[in-house]
Amino acid sequence: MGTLLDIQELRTYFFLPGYAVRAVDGISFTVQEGETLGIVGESGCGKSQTSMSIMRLVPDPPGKIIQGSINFEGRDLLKISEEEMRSVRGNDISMIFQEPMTSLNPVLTIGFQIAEVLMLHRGLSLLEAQKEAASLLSMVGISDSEERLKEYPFQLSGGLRQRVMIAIAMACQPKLLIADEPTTALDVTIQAQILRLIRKLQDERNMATMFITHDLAVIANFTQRVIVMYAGVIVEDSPVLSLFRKPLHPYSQGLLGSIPVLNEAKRTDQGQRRHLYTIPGSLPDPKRFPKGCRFASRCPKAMKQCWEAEPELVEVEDGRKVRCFLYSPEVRTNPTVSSPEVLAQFGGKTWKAEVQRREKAAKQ
Amino acid sequence: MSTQDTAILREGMTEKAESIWNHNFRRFRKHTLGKTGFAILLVLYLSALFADFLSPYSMSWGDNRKPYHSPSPVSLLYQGPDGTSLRPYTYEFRIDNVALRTYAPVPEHTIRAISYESRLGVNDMRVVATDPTPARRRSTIRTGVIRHYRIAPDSPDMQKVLWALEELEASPDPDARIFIELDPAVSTAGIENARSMVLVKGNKNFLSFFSRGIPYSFLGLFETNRHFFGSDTGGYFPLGTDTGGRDLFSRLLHGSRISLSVGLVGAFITIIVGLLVGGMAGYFGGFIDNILMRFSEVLISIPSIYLLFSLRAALPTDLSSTEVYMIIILILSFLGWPSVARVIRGQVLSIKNEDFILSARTMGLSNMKIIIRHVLPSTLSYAIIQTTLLIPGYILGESALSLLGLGISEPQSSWGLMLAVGRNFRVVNDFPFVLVPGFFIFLAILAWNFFGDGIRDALDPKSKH
Amino acid sequence: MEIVRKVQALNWRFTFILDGVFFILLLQAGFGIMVSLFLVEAVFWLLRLTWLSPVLLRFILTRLVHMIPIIVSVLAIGFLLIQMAPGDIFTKMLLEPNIRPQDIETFRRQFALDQPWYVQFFLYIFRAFQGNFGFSIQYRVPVFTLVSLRAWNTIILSVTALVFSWGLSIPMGIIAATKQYKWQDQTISVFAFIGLAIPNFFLAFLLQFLLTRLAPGAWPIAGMRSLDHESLSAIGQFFDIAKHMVLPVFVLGTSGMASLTRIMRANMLDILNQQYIVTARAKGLSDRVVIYRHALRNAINPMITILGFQIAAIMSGAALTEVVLSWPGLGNLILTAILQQDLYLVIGSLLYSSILLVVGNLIADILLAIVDPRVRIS
Repeated sequence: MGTLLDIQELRTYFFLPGYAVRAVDGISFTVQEGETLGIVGESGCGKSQTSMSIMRLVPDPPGKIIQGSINFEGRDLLKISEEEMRSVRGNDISMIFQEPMTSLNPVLTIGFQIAEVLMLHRGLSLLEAQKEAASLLSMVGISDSEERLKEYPFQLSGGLRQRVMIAIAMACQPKLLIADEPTTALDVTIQAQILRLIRKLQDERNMATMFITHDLAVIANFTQRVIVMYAGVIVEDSPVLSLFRKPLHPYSQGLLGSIPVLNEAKRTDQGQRRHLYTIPGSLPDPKRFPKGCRFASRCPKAMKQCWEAEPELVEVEDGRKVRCFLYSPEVRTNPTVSSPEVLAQFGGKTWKAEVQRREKAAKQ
Repeated sequence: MSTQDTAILREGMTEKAESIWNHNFRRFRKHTLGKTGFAILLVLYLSALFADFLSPYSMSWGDNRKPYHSPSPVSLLYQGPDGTSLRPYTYEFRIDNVALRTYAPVPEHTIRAISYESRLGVNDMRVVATDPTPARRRSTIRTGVIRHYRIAPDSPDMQKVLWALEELEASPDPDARIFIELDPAVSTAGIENARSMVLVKGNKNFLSFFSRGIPYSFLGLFETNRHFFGSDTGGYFPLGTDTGGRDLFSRLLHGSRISLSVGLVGAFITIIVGLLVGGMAGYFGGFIDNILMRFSEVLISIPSIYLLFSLRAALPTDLSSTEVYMIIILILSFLGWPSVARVIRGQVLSIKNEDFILSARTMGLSNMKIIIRHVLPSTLSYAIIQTTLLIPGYILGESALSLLGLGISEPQSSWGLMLAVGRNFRVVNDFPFVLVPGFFIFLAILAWNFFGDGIRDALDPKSKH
Repeated sequence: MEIVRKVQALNWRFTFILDGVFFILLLQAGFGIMVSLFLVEAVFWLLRLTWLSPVLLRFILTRLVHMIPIIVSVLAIGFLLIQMAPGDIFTKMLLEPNIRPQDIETFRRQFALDQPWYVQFFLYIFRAFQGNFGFSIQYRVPVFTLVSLRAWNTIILSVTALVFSWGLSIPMGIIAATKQYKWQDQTISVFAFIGLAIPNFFLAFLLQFLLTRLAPGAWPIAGMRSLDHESLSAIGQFFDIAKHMVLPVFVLGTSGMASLTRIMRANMLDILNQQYIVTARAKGLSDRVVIYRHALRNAINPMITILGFQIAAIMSGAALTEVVLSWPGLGNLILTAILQQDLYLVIGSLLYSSILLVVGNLIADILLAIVDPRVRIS
């Protein structure tokens, strides 16, 4: 399996009056042919903007891709002309979105919306494209596909609409499918169906998929590799099983610690009450990132140098990369710790107060 | 929750809670367009209020020797016998070519006699002696003064005048003026009228602030004959005159009183009617709602101008100006309330099921009280928005009626009425300045549109700010 | 006329009380007739259950039936206005020397003006449904003939102005939205504000002035036909009217155009932020296709709902424009009728304009049903 997509040092900034928002601030990763990659992070961490940057659909005022290269099948997507990019969109790389309600044009039939891509990229006539559209609809599991072609999006349920979106995305046999939170807006029962459908299509066509989500269950069940993003940068890049067994970055540890687990004992071995762990604090202000590591103010393992410099993304174990001073060679041999309290186990009010104190200090 | 959300929340918690009016006012202040509109409206309405002070003349006084006099060209620097000075002036014109109605300055040897009355209702005197012979000039002035003041040729006042006349003729200053105080006259009712006049040599009218002119009552408080600016000796028409020699600028200002107030008063009535009708329709629902809404549906089914005309036609044409004014306001409000009522009704329908209404009802308040005290105040902002949108239409409606002779008529003044002459395109072609009132209608409507935009953005909770 | 005699007999007995009651009933006549709507709707509801008919036809029929009470109410209002006006239509005739008072009495009896209100009202409604709307005093012709003739002129003026304003405002709205905040948008917005605020009679005067100064005699500035219209060929006549129509259409269309452009811009901006536009772009469609096929189709729908209001505004504006530019239309007619106190003509014009408005709204609703699938299928 070769490398399909190779992104290096991608930076996408949003320029607003008086300041710039660094939505994607230097990320690099690869996607192999047929691989399923998951990108996870909280809202506002830049994962959606990454996918929009790949498709070059970043709204130009105010956003701009100011740096980086996106190599796809030997071409740098950031350097080709808009016309060439249009032949890539919907054709080699497809995208499906979060809100099936609003992602389809309400005044055009779903048959036409599917046929549109076929007419555009395959040069089919309307009739031919509609026939193809019917078979696509059956492929995504919609029965009576001939009649359904004439229907309008508002006549379909959310799950069906998302299937139509998938049909549109699959129509031209893309090599990469970017799925931006495809199931967040759907019922739980429908979610599984949609995800299984995507996986089935993936297997049939050896298509690579990028799942962008904040739902760890999706990550756990459907991806092979995971990228964890925080505040516009990648903090961990790891195969999925290793991530769940042993998360390296403190943020990943926090994320995974916040998954509620049924049947877990109400009290820990020490007899303390087990709280549902949520990472206190919030993303730093994207207008003004702090000097050091962006996660420092919320990190229970922060050390002195975490406030002074940003760590690099380094390969740690086999195939795992992490951006954290805890794993840099110098630290491992010569750790400098800020204070003993920092390393204690946190949970509940004390840590929260600490985070608030840190954030207030950062504001001055 | 994103950073922005927490930041906003934190900010919100530290600020003191502010009243809803303060909040809306702050939103309005940010809206430049709304502020511009408000500023223009302020200027327009204030000048309407002080119309008689701000205008050089009165609404109906006209010099019928000066029909369609073009706007007076003003020269700022005066080359007098003492050198150049900053004394703005304009020339005194008279008709040069009767057919073409063109004007030329009077000759430099002209003598004019102009009277100042201190009381309303006393006619003024303007005598112009343009004859090249001094003797004939003196005789013209003498006759004019005697006729106007009805004084004997040998009275002391007359002596004063003749003496001043000689001084004037002899003076080396080509633009000399002499002010004369005459004995005050006492009317049959025992009211004194202090009389004075000026004898002017030359063909120039000097402009000044607080010039003397036609007497008027300042805001109904006291009588005076001082105007904000103008010429002591008349002949200055900032925007020209109409067919009867009436100063357009003065008529414009006086007309603004009617044209602008119609909108406001009509809006006031419309808000009240719309709130009541909409409130009742929404609150009571059922039969009342149906009747009221069907009725407004019928009204909306008639194009507004046709309904306007028909309503006007149904009423007698020979009414006093005050009555016509009231009728126009009533008709306009009658056209406007359906849209307000409809909006209010929608709001009431969504509010009436809220808890605070239920608690009012359990307290035993009567329905009308509930409507007026509890339901309607919540809908007030929508009423204001909707009504502000109607005001430009009202101004337009009044102008249209007056333009066509169905509204305000002579000798009153209204912007629409002043534009009636525009239908005669020969006049417009020769004297385009008569169309200025149209520009002011445009300005007023524009200002209300801007202001309405600002109000809407400030008061509408759904607007994205 | 049995019913008339019976009603007259009633009056003879209960003069005072009945006069008051019937006067109030007259006022409520319009509302009362609207109650009939419910009965008719009930009938149609039953029909819907038992009789399958095409959706659109049912829609149109329901709306037509809905129209009837409104029209009748307008008739009632008109009749009320006639009664309110002082004297009757023949008062003016008394001043004319060559008509004898006896003839006027005959006229009065013919028009039943000596009968009490309720009789007159029922007669009026009765005759109205037969197409007899009374008689014009100044023109000595039946109102219906006169009004239909003039109405046609107003219709061609209004429709052309509508097409003009829509034809220009849609592209301008698109340009303003796609070039938001750039100079194209600013200029268009400025023109929109000015066009919205300028009174159409003022604009008419201004344009007349400009035309006479810049190109005297080259272009007609008033009226509908040239003096030598009759002598022109058919094509010549067509172009003659077209030339005369330019100024009124422009004046009439500008204010509509201004508000439409602003709304179109707002709609487009709204839509261009929607998710399905991103989807369309993600498919690889060009900007042009995205705007014209995806965005525009959605932006048009709310505009069509405005069409109804626009028709009302255009008709109002047309009346003023006609008067000022001497276009022989319905508005002009109603004005001269008012000035001459020719009341049946006033009411006839009022009624006709109202019918035009209601029919126009119906057409707009049908258009909406055709264009917007969401409306059609529900």
